[in-house]
Amino acid sequence: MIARKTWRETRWMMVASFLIMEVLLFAAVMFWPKIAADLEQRIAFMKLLAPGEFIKRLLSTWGDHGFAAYIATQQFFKSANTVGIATAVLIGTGAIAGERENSTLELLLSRPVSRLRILWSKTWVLALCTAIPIFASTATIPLLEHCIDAEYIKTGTNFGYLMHAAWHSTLFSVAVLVATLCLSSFIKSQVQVAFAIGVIVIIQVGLYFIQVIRNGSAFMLSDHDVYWPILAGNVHFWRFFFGQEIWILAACCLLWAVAYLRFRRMDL
Amino acid sequence: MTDHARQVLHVTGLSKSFGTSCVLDDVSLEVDAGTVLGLVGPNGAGKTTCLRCLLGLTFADAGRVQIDGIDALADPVASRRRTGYLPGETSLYKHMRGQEALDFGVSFYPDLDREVLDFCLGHFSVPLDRKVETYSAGQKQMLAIMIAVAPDVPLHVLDEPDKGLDASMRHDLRRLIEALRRRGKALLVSSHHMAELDSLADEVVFLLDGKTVDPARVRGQRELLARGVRVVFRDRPADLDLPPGTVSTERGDVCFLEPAAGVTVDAVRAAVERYPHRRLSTGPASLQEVYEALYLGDLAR
Repeated sequence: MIARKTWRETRWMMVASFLIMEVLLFAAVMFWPKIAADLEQRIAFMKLLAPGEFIKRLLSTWGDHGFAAYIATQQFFKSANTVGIATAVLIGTGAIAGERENSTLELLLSRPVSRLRILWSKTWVLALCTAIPIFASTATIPLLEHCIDAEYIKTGTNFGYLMHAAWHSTLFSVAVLVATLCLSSFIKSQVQVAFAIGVIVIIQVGLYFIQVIRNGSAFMLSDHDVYWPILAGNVHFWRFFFGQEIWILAACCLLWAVAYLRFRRMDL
Repeated sequence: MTDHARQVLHVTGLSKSFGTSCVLDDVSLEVDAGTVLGLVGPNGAGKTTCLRCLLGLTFADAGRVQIDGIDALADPVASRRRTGYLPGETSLYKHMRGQEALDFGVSFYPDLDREVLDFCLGHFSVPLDRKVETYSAGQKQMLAIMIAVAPDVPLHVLDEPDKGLDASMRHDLRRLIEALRRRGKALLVSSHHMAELDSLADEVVFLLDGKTVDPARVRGQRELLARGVRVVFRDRPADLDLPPGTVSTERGDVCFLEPAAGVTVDAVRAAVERYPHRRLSTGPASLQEVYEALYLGDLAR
């Protein structure tokens, strides 16, 4: 029942998130022929304006590999990292702090159900609502690819690699969701939770864009240099999972455990 | 032992502090099946915290809570399975329709008391097909009460069930509580409506600054009040012409007049009736009068 209730509360936000991602993706794909028609000159010009080496490198992959590299930037580096994270934060703040603010937490906690089950039921549904827009939007890329002239597509996308990238992007967004849940169990006001997680994200983005210290940013785990090799087929799923993603998963588990420990002993 | 004498709730030494502020101090309560225990006290006395501690919504620092033989502090989920709870603050999902909110609230319990639910559906005018956000305060409260009483459990804990209810709704609530008692349910009810509790509760526990008031002290005040005249004047006269030896004690706007030995209560009453008054009573004290005596300051013998 808690899972169903959570689903009903968040499903429209999930649909909105998908639509926003889809509109951004559609616009990006439709714009690609214009870039591709004059690719080298455009990229050379953009490189002059680009502030950091990593952006120059990102643009180079567009020049060298075309559409697939462009998609890695547009869908995963841009859309998933903004819309996906915003969705995770918005739905995550309501999980505990929102219930507390609306005085519905008392009704929920007074039912004969453990706090572990309450938190778990909410978490997996919210994680699903974070994942579905990313996967669904990514799944439409091959369809949109058919809408543009094949001459502009140097390297096309592979559905399996797209799903791998969507999985990684989802994992990163779910980590943000769990961090939000964790804060939501400590802070009483929904707005304050959103503000706190917003500050953390802004600091992380700030770190990412400073060339010399960008390795300290969490966004290094979800940038173009991560997604492009996946879409290029240069990343083995399980080697990558056990090499890098398992640490993201471990961080999620740790943050969730902290959230649970706090929620378990939380006085109304 | 008959079923109606079975102890359903047994609380001893319940204590809770928030930081340095002690909210509950050694509170003890007992409720038998088929009885109503009223819990009264001023705002901030610890009533809501006490009820929340029983259900494990707030964690007690010390004490023991047994609900239908289950250690509620050790196994709160099992004890909540035997308790219907009405939160003090209206606690409903506003985006749900009334029927959805009712279904959600009771879905966690293994059994429903169909007769009680039918009674509620028949008597409470709650439009279950409409969204909760369109309800009046009274309708929301009635729906929350339905959620609390519909499960077939031995104990119902109702935190200010009459809050926001009009006179006809309060009448329906009284009938519901009487019906629950007849069905052998144990009820713990906190309220600020003394007249309602006076007619409903088998016993009343007073909470003051987180402590239960000693029943002997309550009994003493009740007996003392019964021996005199209680009056609230419209304008307090400077001098009262009363039978000689009458002792006058004031607590707030209530004036308690105790006749001297050999003078009857009726004589004092007749003397005081000449003055304009808002309230005048003799005989057994109402719960409201006992409450006033306890919270405004004990009357001395």
